[in-house]
Amino acid sequence: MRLVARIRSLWRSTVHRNQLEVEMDDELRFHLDHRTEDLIKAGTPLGEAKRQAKAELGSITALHDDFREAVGLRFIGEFGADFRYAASVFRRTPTLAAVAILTLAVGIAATTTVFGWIDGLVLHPFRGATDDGQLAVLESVRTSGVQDPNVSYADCRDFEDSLRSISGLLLNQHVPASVGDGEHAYSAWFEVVSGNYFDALGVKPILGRTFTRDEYGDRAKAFTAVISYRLWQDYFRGDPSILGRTVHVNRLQVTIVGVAPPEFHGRFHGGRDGRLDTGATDWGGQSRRAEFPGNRQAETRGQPLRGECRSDDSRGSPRARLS
Amino acid sequence: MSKQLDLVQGTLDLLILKAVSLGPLHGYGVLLRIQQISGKQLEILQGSLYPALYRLEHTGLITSEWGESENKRRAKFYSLTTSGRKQLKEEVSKWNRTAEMMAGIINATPDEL
Repeated sequence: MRLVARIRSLWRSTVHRNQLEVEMDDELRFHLDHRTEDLIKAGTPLGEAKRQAKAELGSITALHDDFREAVGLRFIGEFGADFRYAASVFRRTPTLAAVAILTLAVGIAATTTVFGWIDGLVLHPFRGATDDGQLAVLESVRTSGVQDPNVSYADCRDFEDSLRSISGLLLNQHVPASVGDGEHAYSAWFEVVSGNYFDALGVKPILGRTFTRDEYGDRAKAFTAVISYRLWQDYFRGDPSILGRTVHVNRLQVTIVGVAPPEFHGRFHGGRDGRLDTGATDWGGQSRRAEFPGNRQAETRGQPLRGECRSDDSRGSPRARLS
Repeated sequence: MSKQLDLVQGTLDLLILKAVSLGPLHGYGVLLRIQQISGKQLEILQGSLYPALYRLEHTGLITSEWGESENKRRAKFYSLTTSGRKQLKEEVSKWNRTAEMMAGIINATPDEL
């Protein structure tokens, strides 16, 4: 309520500034006249009464300044004066102005980019996922002590069977992909993921579904994909009948089963065109048919895939190291 | 107006709110009303009065309207808003508690300790 009153007062003072200054003069004049009359009634001579009334009230200019400060106009006035001064300096020295503006622009752009990458890579690698602060990167440490950030699918299954402190373990890998055929092919980044990817991240599709148990692992019979909202809008023009359609992704037939929500972009990746499209294939018995890198050797240990796990222990380290 | 007491910081706003709560007043009238209520023991600096009035109006505790004074001259009259009435109640309560506490401290005797 107070804030509304302040905004209303500031607006009124800004729009009707001249009128309010005149009214203020009228009010102070009324005060001086009244006070002078009271002093005369008390026996003070006219000249002395006028002088005393003015002295008691103080500087009219200072009162005007106090008024402007009280209603917030002083800040606006000072900001305007600073802005005009800066503009006049820029006009007089255009080279200096250009250098200053360029320096600021480069500085802001560099800082924003760095913070964007840190946010995407470290703070919120899966933007749009439920509680992504509970995610930890799984990496192997060999007996020789060498860290290996990659985890094979076979290792992942072993970890999943033996680790009790995590609620889900998912695998993902980025691959450049060509969606569609011929002239209509669309260049995109796909993320090859384990079947529990969306469930582990707590992401619900806005259209269709995520992967069922029959679509990954040993039961898998075909390749399925959940596409990103952007791919759906850009390439498929937001077609509501997209579900069940089969498209070629890197010459592989993939059936689209869902569309991810717009705020979910999968794992951060500064890919080509800045696009990141999310997809998935099975990881089981059909893997040797797949042409996505990584799928061919899904049963091979040491396969370069990145593992992420959701920890149940909120006090735990953000990086779970396993050997 | 020769006898001037220093006001505790923040007290002027409370005095103005109380003065206009008794009826709409122009700026000079606020000054006279405070003097009258205090039995002419308290005088406030006239230069401090108007900034305080503008501040209170800006924050929506009082509102103003131009009208005619007792000597048939155009004057700006201030009155309390609903928000100002609530604020006055809170300030009075706070002031009473402070005064009570201060009185207890400065009137304390060795027997009471």
